[in-house]
Amino acid sequence: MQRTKLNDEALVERALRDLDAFEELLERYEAKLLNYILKITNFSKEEAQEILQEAFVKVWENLNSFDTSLKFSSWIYRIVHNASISAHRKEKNRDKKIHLSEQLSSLLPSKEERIELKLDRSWESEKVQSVFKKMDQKHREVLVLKFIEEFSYEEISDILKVPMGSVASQINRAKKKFKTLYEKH
Amino acid sequence: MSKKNTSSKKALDFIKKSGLKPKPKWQFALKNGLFWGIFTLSILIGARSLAVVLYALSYFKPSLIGHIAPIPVLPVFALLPFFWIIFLLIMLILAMSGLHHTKKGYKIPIVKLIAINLGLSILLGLGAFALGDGPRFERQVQKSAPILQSTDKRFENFWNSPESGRLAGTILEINEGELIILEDSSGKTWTVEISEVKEPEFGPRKISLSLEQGEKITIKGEKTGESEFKALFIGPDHKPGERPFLKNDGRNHLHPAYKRVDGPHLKK
Repeated sequence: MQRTKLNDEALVERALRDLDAFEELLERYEAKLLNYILKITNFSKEEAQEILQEAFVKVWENLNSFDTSLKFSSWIYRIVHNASISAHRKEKNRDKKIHLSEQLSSLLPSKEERIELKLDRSWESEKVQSVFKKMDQKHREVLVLKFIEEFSYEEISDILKVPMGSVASQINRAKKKFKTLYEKH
Repeated sequence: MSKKNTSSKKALDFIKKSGLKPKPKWQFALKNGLFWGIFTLSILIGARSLAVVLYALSYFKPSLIGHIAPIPVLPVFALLPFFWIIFLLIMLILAMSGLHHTKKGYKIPIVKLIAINLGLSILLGLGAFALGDGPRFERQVQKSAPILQSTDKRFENFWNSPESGRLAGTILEINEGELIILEDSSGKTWTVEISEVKEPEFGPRKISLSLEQGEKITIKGEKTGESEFKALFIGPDHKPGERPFLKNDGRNHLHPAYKRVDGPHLKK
């Protein structure tokens, strides 16, 4: 399939008439979205792929509801986020390994600890993962969106469908929670 | 990961096989319109409910609570328009939910959401109350829910309770300044002793009673016989919207039950 240089929004317009354009759109986000599901839930890669597949079908079904005043990335993350949360709720009690990026180390309480992390990345990563695993879903998802996916407050507001002010306070609370749990660990 | 096993490939295969099409735009427009409709309707119905609440609250005037008698709290509390207050709250929640679910509604902070809905409801509710929409809306709702008692009826029942020391009716006769003959809303005639009636006060201002035949009054006192009642306090029986110093015929003069005179006297 020949790739276009169209931006996401233009590609959405074309996707409504051309499935190839839709495929290109999905492929642009597939890897990022799969990682996102893995970070905010406890699902295995195979399960995350299934959730993503279902979310992609929803994206297709709802393509006409895409609001061009939003970024396409915010919109597709919202759909995948909702699909993940919904699947996560069904599997709430399952205890699966969390795959967590080392980028969470930026949240650590002090420079010294970040240095320590560099010295022993594998151990620290385990520790960070373990701390992260203890956090609430709500706290976990804002941290992933802000510090790993590096979305702006406005984009997070559009993905989670909450006011911008709430995004800021949720991130602050999540950071505090992370630090507290990390220190206790 | 081979391309044929990716989520996007599988999703596309499913879409092609099932012939799934994107939902048409009008469906989303309709959904958004529905939430705006819920918001607008809830605000309007909420405002009309507030008009009923205000109408009921305007019954709580000095002649009911203040100077006439220390009426026990419980029966007065029962007069509060609970149904309409709850109905108003439900409408407010519905309006907030409707606005929140519109396309950009999630961007509105909760405090602002409450302020917008409360502000609109109060503004429109005050307008509706001023236009006399309270009892009108109450009657409309009553048609669908006959079990609902009107505010007027609730207060009428409250005053038609001789066993509890409350009586209301129209003065038929005044005898020697000692007795009045009163007809209650059921048509029953009462002989009311008024020699021990205390004069009402509005703050520092003392007002003397002047009763006339044909006037509607409320009485606080005690039942002394099958058709006898002893009055301790007498007040006018005016509905919300009617000023106590305005006669029911609408002319701008003092209500007879509150005529400011030198001392208590009765007119035949």
